[in-house]
Amino acid sequence: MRLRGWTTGRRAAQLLRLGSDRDETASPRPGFEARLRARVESGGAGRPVPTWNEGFESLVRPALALAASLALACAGLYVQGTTQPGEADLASLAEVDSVFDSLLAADPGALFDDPGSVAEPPEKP
Amino acid sequence: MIDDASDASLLGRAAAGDAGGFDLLVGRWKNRLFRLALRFFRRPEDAEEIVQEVFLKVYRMAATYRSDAPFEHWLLRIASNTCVDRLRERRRRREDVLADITPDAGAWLDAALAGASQEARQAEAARALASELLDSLPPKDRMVLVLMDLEGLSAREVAAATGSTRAAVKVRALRARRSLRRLAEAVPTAREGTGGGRG
Repeated sequence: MRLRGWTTGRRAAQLLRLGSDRDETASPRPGFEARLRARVESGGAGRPVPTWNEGFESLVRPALALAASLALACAGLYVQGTTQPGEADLASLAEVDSVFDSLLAADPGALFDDPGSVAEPPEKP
Repeated sequence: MIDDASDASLLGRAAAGDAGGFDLLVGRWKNRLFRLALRFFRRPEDAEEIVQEVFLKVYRMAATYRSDAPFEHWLLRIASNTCVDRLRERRRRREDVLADITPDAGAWLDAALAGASQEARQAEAARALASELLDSLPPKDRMVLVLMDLEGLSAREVAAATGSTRAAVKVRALRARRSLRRLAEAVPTAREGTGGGRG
């Protein structure tokens, strides 16, 4: 069992060595600096690889903006879908308000009426 | 031994727009970075592309370098991040790599893992297959294994080079070695033959 573990460990180390093998004296092809210089002078050869901050700028910020826009749009749709025509109109609210009616009718006593009770018809003489 | 302070001053010159300072830095470090990239990317063109990308980042980020950290650590961090990003792009599932092993290649790899001598063509095929298998490891795990076991860096140095902590590097190394052992176990031995593959 221990021998098998040792063998596996040795094979694993050998696999790593074999798969990561390289020439110890290798160097880039001639003209490496010139090619690099050309890329530097041409503006870095394309878009920089995102660092954390750039990642924030390029991903999170647009995502937040999109989320905010969606939230606003949803809120707008919700309000539009739940309100009846004229319901949001302040004037129409006042028209159906009993307190407002009593004030308009110059009848302050109506303010203290039970809103659930049905007013009795006036007695006939 | 390369003097860190000199590197830092060269980088400062590069940040100020002095192309000569940048060229000197490139000349000093290009071989080291190229050989590190070759650990992960077998084709020299790919490794060279990685090194170019690293130096472009160095040029762009020169102003962000803080001289309280060794230049080598800063440079290694950029290089390791660049390699890990590229490895992520080409990572393959272990099962897919194993399924693609031909009986010949499997036998050659098995012989190479056992330390047997082989013809150049067979040894090259075994190396290519081993590299493909390593591509299935999580890139950060592979980076830690290479830096510690092949480049001889300590856990502290790897932590500095990867922007991690020493404890985190040790945990990752432990996990990575376990993954590597599982990978080595999955390689079919000559007796077993290959399970599937191209035949």
